[in-house]
Amino acid sequence: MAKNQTLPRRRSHPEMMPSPPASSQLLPPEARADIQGFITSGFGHLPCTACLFLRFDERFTAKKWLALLRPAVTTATSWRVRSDVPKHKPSQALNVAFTADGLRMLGLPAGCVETFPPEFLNGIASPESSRNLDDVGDSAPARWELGGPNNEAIHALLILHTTTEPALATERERIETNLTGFPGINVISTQIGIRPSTGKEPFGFHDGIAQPEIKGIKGTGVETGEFILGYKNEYGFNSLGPVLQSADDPLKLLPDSSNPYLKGQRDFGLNGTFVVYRKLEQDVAGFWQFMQSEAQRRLGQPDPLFMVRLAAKMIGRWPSGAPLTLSPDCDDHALRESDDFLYAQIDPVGHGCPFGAHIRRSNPRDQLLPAAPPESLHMTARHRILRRGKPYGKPLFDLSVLDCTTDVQGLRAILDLKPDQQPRGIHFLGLNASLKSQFEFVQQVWANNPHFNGLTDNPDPLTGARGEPGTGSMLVPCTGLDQRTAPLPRFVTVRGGAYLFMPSLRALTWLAT
Amino acid sequence: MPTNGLIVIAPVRAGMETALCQTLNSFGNDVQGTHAPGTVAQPRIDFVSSRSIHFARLALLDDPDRGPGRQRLLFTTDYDGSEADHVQEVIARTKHPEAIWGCCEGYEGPASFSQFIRAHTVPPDTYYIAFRGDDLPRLRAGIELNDFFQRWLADPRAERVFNLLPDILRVGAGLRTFAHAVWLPFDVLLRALLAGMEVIGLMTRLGLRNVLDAAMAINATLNRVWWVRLLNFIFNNQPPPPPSPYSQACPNPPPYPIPAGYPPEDAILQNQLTLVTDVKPECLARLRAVLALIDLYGRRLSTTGSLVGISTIHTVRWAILDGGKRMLLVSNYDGTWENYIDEFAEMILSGLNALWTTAPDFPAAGAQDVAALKQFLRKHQVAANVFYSACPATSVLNLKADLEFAFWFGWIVRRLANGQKPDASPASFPS
Repeated sequence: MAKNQTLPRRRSHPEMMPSPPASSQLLPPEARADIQGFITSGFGHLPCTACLFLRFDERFTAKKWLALLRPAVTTATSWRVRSDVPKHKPSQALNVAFTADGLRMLGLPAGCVETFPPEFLNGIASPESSRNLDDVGDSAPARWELGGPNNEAIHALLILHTTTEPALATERERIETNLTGFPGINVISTQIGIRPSTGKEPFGFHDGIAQPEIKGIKGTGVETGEFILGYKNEYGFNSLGPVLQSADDPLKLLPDSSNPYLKGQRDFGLNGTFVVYRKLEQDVAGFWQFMQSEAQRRLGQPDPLFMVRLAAKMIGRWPSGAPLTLSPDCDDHALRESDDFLYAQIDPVGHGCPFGAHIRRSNPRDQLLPAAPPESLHMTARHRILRRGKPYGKPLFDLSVLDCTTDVQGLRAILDLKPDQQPRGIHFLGLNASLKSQFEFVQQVWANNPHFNGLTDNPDPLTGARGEPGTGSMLVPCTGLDQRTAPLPRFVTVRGGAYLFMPSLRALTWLAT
Repeated sequence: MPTNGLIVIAPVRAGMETALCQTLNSFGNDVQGTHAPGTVAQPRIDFVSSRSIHFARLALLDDPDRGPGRQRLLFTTDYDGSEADHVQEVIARTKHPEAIWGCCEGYEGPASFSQFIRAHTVPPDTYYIAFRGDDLPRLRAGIELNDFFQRWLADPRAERVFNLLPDILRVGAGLRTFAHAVWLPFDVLLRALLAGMEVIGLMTRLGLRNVLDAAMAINATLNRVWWVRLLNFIFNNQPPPPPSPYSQACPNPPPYPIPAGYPPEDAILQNQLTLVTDVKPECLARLRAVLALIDLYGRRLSTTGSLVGISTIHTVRWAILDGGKRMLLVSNYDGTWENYIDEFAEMILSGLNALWTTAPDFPAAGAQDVAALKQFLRKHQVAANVFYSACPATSVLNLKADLEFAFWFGWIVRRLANGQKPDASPASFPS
């Protein structure tokens, strides 16, 4: 049978199609030398991070400073120089990203700025993004201490990674001293985050385990274009980035856009990506108090084992990091880094990890109802983000008590926790090629959605916003009758945020020139 | 009682476009009539008290055939019962009908409203509704019952009560699974038989070639349905690979305008999409076949709450307008716009291509170029002035669970539904 004879013929494509970057293969060394290292590595060996938020008062100084900074920027160049020599890991890393205001301040022409996506240009504190992210009430941008309408405008973010805290202090001081030589560049705020060797975030759970792998780096995983602009993404198309008129780049610092629909433009976005910064404050005392009140309500006594179990149900992993889907009944340290599992076969109704659990809704893997597993996996892969979070603040209690979830005596440390008014939480840094269809999508459609996967009135127990008072509770599917918690208080409050663009090294050169 | 869809498109009297738009917006921004008590006296249609209207929408479409700046009023509803009763209910529930209907040509007062509606009704070429056989009181009772149950789950005593019941439930569940397994093959056969007969009818009406082409186009990526997979295998029916990895999307598209004053799109739960696209004349015959086949899939081959695997659609309809020059899409769906389009692009890619390759400005690589597809849809989307949903806090998946639950506890549901039977007869309206 002849197929689709009356179908209108697809419009012919422009001739001379240049060969696209082959993303089924690994990224070539020249591309990696152009990509900032923060995109391709979490710098696991560099646990200490400082985020310096900068404001530029004047373009010329800013460009001069950037020109000096550029050679110090860590790239994605492989740490393995030769196959027979061990990897040479850097002892520190420095990366830089800019807000829309920052790019304008650095003289990016309006024609190029317009080609950035609107959510980036409007910023994280825009009414639309606030609505998508549910940044309302105490989390509303008007109450933020960093970014938002009532604080100084952020123009750039300098991210410094070092091996130790003293090294971080020394290096940070060096950068800040260096900046004093550039009047007109102000450090608005410096945020320090330290990843403890246990990997535990302030609630006491091992965090940062699930991380999508970039196909261009590892050879397998999620398509490179989901995280780096200009490469094939999970839709089968190259992720779209901003472009610059050729006339604005007389020195030919940037590559020509290979997109035939954008002839005569330079590719400003290639090898760059978008960065989300969010300062998330965690109410650790409130979190464990809620578990305690639930234990009291269900069992008539504050049972620490019940509390840990309920907290694990909300997160989807035990304190060690072991996923509930693989180990539904008790914590298992052997599975602490385990991320190689799917839901549909072994945990289809959520008796292990509830549908409402934080990890199940931030990455639904192969069960995005009502789609079948292959389609779910495909759709999920289109909305992943790279997370580069770092905890801040002193732990409220000795988090190591959670290492033994059968030791009732030791676990008494989580009973009757009182707030100490000390800030603690996570500096969340996320990387994606599209803020709207990745970061905002995950927050809005999966995490904050009380109806995610057929649930009713069940927002993300950790990050999700709460609706009307008295609504929003966690459903814990059980083999007998399912259980519901009391209405969830908000345990995580947004204290600051910014949408930034992390340019390629070539685009940095353009900005510095 | 089956639920039906109504589409009315009436030309707006010249010069009254702005006034009508303002009237509709002030109504649309407070459909529930809860914001300001004063607005209740303003022109509006009191959908909220209706026991038979599931969804309603009012939007102003351009009317290019009658000249630049001219507009027409689109009114769509999903209702239980007969059309005559429904139309009577609409006019009875309209406060100050002259401010809404009076702006349309052909309206001559409430007495002749039925004639006015009949004269401007556009029959849908495709109509799908997730819960075809469930009227509004039944849905609402199901929701109420499940809400009650969900609240009950938070009560520690629930478990003790539950422990008294499991044997009855287990026996019931076993019986039901057995009955389902026995009935399923018959059901599939019956549906297939009816669908096959309809397809033959379509072939004689719309042309053998058009129907076959349309079926091939729709089915190309629908491999999750076993018989479609088989057919695709036999006929080697595959979608063409994208011609290049470059998206046709414009890097700086004009922002989608929800003009100031219009009701905003829902960010989380239920949303609406109204779309008018042009149709290339040479594609019209095949497009009619595509629409007829999708209608058939929706009626005969879909299970409750799912259109070939998609469970975000409450209702959707397509209609060919203006003698084949344009196509209208009106849908009521769950979740955000972005999610809706993404899910479509994953689940019914070939369906989207079959529908919109007929538009002159559809992306060259088809719906697979999702970035360009989204720009195409946003370009043709019409902002709705009024969007009403009778159960705004429930998704299709929720309703499915609610109805399942109500199946078990039907007697309670009937008790709850008692006294609020769907009733659209004029005598039951408040004056």
